[in-house]
Amino acid sequence: MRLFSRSKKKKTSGRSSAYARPRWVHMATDDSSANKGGLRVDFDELGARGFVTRDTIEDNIGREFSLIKRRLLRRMDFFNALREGKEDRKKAKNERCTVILVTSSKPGEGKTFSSCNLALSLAFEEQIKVLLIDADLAKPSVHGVFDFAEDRAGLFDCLKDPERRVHNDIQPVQGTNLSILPAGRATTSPAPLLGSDAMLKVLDQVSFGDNAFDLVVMDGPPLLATTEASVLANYADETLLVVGAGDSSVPQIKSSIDLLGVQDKIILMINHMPLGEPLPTEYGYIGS
Amino acid sequence: MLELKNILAPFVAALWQGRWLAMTIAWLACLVGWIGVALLPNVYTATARMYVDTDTLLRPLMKDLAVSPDFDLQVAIMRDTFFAVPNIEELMLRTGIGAEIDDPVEHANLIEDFGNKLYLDLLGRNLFEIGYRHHDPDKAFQVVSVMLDIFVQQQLGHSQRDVEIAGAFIDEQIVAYDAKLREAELRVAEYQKEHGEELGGAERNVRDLDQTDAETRRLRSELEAANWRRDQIRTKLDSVPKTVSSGEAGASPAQEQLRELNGELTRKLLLYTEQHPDILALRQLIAQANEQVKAESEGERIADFLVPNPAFDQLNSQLQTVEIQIDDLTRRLSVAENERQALSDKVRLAPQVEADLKRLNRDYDVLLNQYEKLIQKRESAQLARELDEGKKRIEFRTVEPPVRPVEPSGPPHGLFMLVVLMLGGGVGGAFVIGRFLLSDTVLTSAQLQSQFPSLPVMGGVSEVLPGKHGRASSLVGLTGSVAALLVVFVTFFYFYQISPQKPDLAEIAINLAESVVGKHAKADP
Repeated sequence: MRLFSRSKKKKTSGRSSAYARPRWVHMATDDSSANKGGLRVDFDELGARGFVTRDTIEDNIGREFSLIKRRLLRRMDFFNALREGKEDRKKAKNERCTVILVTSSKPGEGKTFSSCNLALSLAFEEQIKVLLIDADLAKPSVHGVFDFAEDRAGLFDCLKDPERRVHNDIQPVQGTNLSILPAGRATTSPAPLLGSDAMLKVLDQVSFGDNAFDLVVMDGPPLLATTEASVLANYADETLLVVGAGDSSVPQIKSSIDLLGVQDKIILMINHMPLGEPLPTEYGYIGS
Repeated sequence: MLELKNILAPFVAALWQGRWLAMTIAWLACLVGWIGVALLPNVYTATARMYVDTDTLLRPLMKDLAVSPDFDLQVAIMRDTFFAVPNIEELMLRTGIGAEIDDPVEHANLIEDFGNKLYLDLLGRNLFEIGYRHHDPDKAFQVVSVMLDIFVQQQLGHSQRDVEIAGAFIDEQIVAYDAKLREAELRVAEYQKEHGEELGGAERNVRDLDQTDAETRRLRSELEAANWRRDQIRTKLDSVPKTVSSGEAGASPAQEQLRELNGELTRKLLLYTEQHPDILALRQLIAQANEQVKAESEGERIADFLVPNPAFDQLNSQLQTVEIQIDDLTRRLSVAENERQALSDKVRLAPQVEADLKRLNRDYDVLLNQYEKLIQKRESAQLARELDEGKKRIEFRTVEPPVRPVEPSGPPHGLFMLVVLMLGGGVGGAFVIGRFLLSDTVLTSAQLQSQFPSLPVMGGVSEVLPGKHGRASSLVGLTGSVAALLVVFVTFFYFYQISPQKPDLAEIAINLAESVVGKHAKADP
C-alpha cells in the first residue's frame, strides 16, 4: 500500500490543471524509485521531443494523453477496482495486474510514442505503479525514447531463461512511478517464446510480490508485419490500436482488427492528427 | 454546423497534413507556368479604319431593279473577298510572309492561320476596321497597309464591275424590249388593216343594213306580186282560144296589138320612169307592132282565113312581160340578199374586233412603258457612272491609316500569371485532397469513430511538430512560403504587366548560357 502512503506534493502542482483530479489520488513523490538508482532521464529533452513530462503535462500533448488515459481507465473501471480494495483480492486469487497492449497496423504509426506517453501520463498524474514493457522484440524502440543502451537485458532474456528474475532487468525511471522492462537482446525468433508459459511467468512476477505493479503497458510490434502482436493480445486486458492519421487505410485497420480477434478488447486511438483533437468541451466531457 | 464541421474537418486536416506537398506542387506549377507565360511572345496589332460608302455607289444605279444587292450582302461580299485565298496569297507574296515555305500543306495551313489573325470589323455604317496581329510590330503594320491597298483596289474593281454588269443588263433589256415593241406595233397595224371595214364604218354599216333590209323586203313583195300576176295571166290564157276566123276580126291583129301596147305603155308610164326596163321593152314592142301594121296596110289584105286570136296574143305577150319582170326581180333580190348578209356579218363581228384591237393596243402600251423606263434607266446609269468617276476618292477613304504599333496588344501576361497562380494553388490543394480521398485513410478521431462505430475511440493525439512552437512555427513557415510565392508573382506581374519594358526570358537565358559557355571556353584552353 505504498501507493497510498506517498503524500509529498509534486513539483508542477502549482500549475493550474484543466480538469479535476480524482480526490483519492495522492500526489507523486520525487524519490519513488530514487533509492534504487534506476534510469536517469533528461525530462526537458524528453518534453522537447513531444513526450509527456511534468512540464508538458498541461501542454497540448499532455492533455490529449490525459483524455485518452482517463477514458481508458474509466472503461476498465480501474479506479473502482483500486478503491474497493479489489487489488488485494485480485492478488489473492492470483489475478494478474491490468495489461494494456499498444499496437498498430503498420510500423511508424506511433506505437512507441503512444505507449511511452500513456505510461508517462499514468505515472505522473495517477500515481500508480506503471511498468512499460518493450514487447517489440524484433525492432525495439523504447530505449531510444528513454535514451538507454539497446543491448540492455530485458524481456527476451527473461523469456529465454525462466529462472531469471524479471525485477533485476526492470529499470525504474528516476523520479517517477514508471519502470521500464527493455526488450532485451533478441537472438531468435521471439514469436514462439511470446506464446509460451514464460510470458505468463514474467507477467506473474510483475503482478505479484513486493514490487508488484498496478498496471502494465506493453509496446507491441505492428500487427500487419508480424504475428507477435496478435499473440501478445491474448495477455492484454485492453488492446489499444493506434491509427496514424493519413497512414494506414481503413481496409488495413479492418484487417488488423480481424487479426486481433476478440473485438470487445479492442480500443482505438488516432495519432499524428494534423489539426489536433477538438477541445474536451466539444465532447461534453467536463460536464459528465 | 457541427455536421458541416465534421464533414469539412477531414479535408482541412488533409490540407494541413499535406501542406508542404501542396506548397511544393504550387511552387513548381507556378514557376513553370510563369516562365511559360513569360516566354509567350508579345503580340502587336496594327489596325486601319476606312470609310467605304457602299450606298451611294450602287443605290441610284440599282434602284427599282431586281438585281439590287443589299447592304449586308455587300459587307458579306467584302468580308469574303477580304479573306479570300487569292487575296491572302497576294498579301503573303507582297509582304514576303511564308515565302520560305514550299510544302503545299503547310502553305495552306499558313493561309488559314493568316485568315484567323486578320480581322475585318464593321464599326458603324460604312466604317470598317481591318487589323492584323503579329509578334513583330513591323510585320503587323506592313500586313495591314498592304491589305488596305489590296482591299481598296478590290473594292474599286468590284464596284466598277458591278456598274458594268448593270449597264450590260440594261442594254440587253432595251434591245429585247425594242424587238418586242416592234412586233407589237406590227401586230396592231396588221390587225387594223385586216379589220378596217368593221372598225371604220360600224354606224354606216348598220344604216346600210337597214336599207338593204327594206329593199329586200320590197323586192320580195314585188316578186310575189309578179308571180301572182303571172299565174293570173296563165289562167286567163288557158280560157282564150288561140285562133279566130279572119272575118271576125275587126282590126288586124297587128293593129290590135299596137293599140294594146300603147295602152299598156300609157299605164306603165304612170308607174315607172322612161328608163325602166318595162318601159324600154314596151317601146321596143310598139316599134315592132308599128312596122307590122305598116306592112299590113301596104300589102294586100290578108285572105279571109283562120287568123291568130289577138286577145290570146295580147295575153301571151303580157305573160312574157311578167316573166321577164319575175326574172329581173329574182336576180335583184338575190343580189340584195347577199349584200344584206355581208352587212349583217360585219355588224355582228364589230365589237369583238374592237376588243381585240384594244387588247393589242394595251400590250403595246405596256411594252412601250417598260421600254421608256429602261431608256431612262440607261440614262441615269450613264449619269451615275459619270458621277462615280468624279466621286471615286470619296467612296473609298482611309479614315485612320495603319500605324506601326508600339504597345503590344497581348497576350495578357499579368492575367495569365494570375491564373497560373490560382491554378498552381488549386492544383497543389487538389492533389493533396485527391491523395487523401484515394488513400482511404482517417485524419480525425470523429472520422475514425464513424468508420468503426462498434469500437470505442479513446481520442486522438496531434502530430508533434518539430521546434519549440510546433504548429505556430509551421504556420509561420507556411505563411512565409506563401508570401515568397506571392512576392515572386508580384515580381513577374510587375515586369510583364506594369513595366513598360518586358524582359525577354529567352534572351536572358541565352545570355546566361553564353556566359557559362564562355567561362568554360576560357577555362578549356
